[in-house]
Amino acid sequence: MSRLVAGLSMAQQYQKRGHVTFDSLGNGLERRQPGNSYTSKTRINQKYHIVGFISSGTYGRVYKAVERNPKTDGTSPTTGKELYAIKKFKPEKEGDNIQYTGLSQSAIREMSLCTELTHPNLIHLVEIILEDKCVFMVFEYCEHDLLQIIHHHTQPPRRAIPASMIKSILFQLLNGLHYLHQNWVMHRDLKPANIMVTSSGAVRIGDLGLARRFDKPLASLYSGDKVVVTIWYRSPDLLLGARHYTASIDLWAVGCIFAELLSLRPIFKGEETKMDSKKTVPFQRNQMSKIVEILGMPEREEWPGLTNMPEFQQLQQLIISRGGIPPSLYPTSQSALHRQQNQNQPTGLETWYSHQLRAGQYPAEKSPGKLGFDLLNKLFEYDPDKRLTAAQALEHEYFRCTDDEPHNGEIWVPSNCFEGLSETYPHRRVSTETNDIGTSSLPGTKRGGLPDDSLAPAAKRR
Amino acid sequence: MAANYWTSTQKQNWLFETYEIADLREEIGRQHMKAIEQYPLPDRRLMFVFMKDRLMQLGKRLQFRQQCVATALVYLHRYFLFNAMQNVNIYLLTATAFYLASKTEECPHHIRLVVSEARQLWPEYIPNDPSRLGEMEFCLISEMHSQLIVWHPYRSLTTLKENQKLALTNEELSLAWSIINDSFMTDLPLIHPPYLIAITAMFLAVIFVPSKSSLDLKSPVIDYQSMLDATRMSSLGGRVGVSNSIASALNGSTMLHPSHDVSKQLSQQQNNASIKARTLVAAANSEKMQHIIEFLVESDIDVKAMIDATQDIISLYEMWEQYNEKTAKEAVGRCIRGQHLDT
Repeated sequence: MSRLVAGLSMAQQYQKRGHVTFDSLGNGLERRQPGNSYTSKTRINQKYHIVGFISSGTYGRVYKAVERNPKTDGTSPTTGKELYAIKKFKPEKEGDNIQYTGLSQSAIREMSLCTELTHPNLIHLVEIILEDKCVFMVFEYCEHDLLQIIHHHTQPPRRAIPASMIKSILFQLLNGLHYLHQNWVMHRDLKPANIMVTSSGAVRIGDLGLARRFDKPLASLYSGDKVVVTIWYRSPDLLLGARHYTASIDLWAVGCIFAELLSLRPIFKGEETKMDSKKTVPFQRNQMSKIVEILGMPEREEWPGLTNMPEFQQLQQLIISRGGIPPSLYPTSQSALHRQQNQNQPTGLETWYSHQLRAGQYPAEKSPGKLGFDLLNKLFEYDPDKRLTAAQALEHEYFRCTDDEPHNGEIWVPSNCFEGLSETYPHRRVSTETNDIGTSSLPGTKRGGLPDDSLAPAAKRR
Repeated sequence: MAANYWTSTQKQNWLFETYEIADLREEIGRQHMKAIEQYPLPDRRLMFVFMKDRLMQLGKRLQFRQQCVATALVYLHRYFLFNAMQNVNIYLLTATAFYLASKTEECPHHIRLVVSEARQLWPEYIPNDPSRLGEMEFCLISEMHSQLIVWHPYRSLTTLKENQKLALTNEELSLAWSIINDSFMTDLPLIHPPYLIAITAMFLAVIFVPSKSSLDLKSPVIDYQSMLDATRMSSLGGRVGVSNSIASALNGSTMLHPSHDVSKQLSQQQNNASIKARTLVAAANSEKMQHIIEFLVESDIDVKAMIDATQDIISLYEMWEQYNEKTAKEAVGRCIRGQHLDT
């Protein structure tokens, strides 16, 4: 990692390391035997003590850990041992006889991007250890994530997430996303489970396993990963088969997360059509119709590129099969079909929104309000070219501070999303049954004790 | 250039002073003296020519972009900062660099495919077991501290192309492109930022184009756009007389040649832009060169570094004339067998 020894260039560090090893081995001995075999320089179990198991996925497993012998360099005032989350990428094939199978594209992406990127709203990578045919990515430990926070609020007595907290989460999320996009990185898998929150209320975007650079695509984005973004957070342009999609797909997902923070359930909870045996990507009819139920049909007047979308025919069949008018969950959303003409009628999303505000019993002075709706509406823009960018979203009036001085009138949001709130959130559940971080691997289980929304894209990662 | 080269690990950790590189190599030399004496290999640059050709061989069989080859070559440069060439199976390492670069450059190939293609090419050196390449991948990533994203001069050249004032012709651009390709044989990717290499290549190309015809060089690729997707790596290397004619073109242009007064003056006057500008413009003998020199002054390029880079390129071409693939192949083969690296 880049943070080895401050003030020394890498060459100098390497020279130092080389000398030390050289001396300790004595003259005439080689630092490494000639050959092509790999020996780890750092051993994960020597450096970290595994406290427990956090979660698993298609990539591998995540463990909670503490450092065994933290460096006391005097610069960090912390007395307690620092906590870490160690993500272990499993080799593709499992079994007793583990082999080097080549690192997955997802591991390579996460490793290479996390070493380049640093931002307060991005998960902080501490180091990467390659050992025993596995990759261990050591991250800072985050006590919460949005999925867990949302879940906590659904527990009786069900109560809405405070508006100030939602605002801070969104602002931090957009801030991290803006940084990613500025650096030409699309996340492509934003969802509540991937948004971490530290115990001091800082939001950290995590899981860059699907993220990729879009500054110099050598091949069209589509050719690499046929399916991106967990279905409920997937934008309509992706659902309609966009080949050259843009960073705007992440903003749609932010809209979905905003909505979910308000209503405590996914706003577009469609059912995924599984890929057929021919590995062709199916049209996600059910998911698309969930969106249409609330937002109304996209129209070419608002979205000029609509008719050129590969799945446009499928979309039209959606109308026909539903008797021309999409069924509506919300009384007036039929008018969404003609929302241009009916300016005075509330749109489906407006109806949905005010319904959520009522259900959440937001007090008038502490409500996401009309500005919150305006932001959400602009994130749910059908046309990807018109959808708000992260930079634009950060300047939205919703984030203007109306409190007293010192920030009155500025775009300003507290950087601790828990600020002023008394709610205590349960700590991340850690199972201590399987503390073995070694290479023997158990079949993956789902994220402990929580409704899991991450099952969806099992096929997308390889 | 995208904003983040400036915060990249490449800029922070993988650019070295020449003396730092020399120190590292000296130390490798000390540690592995026996093997290095027992199995002499051609000059480092020629070894990179050899490895580049191996990458191209592999690339012919697998769909690839030349940017992947460039990235793979940078990986090899980084690896050999800390390892002796005598201590590794170069065929396996090269295939591994190709495999890893194909993933970081988002045109991934499956490990089995890479291994089977490499085995068909070099059956005596590639073990019939993909896990060996997988293990080598760990070695490579570990030496690079998982810092896998590489910035190349190609993009900077594209920016130069878009600069209307420079008005670079397709011929100049394609020559510059070839020179950039060739720069990967030298230590330049470990020493200079990509934009400096691109500007140096452009400068050399502009100087070189007029005299090129005397060498009867065909333009490697005429259409600049097609170079971006080229599945081969155009090069000036290995042709007799290239280095001489570049050197004499440089002399003719009465600047930037290290022995020349102007360049000496320039290095001393680094900080005085106006004097620098006047000296440079006076030295320029064509309108085009004037535009380019104005551009160099405006962009506040490190002229000293440019001169050094120019020298490195010229001596590469000089060295390249001596390249003999058969000799390199034999030396590598002897070393791999003698060190038992093929098992």
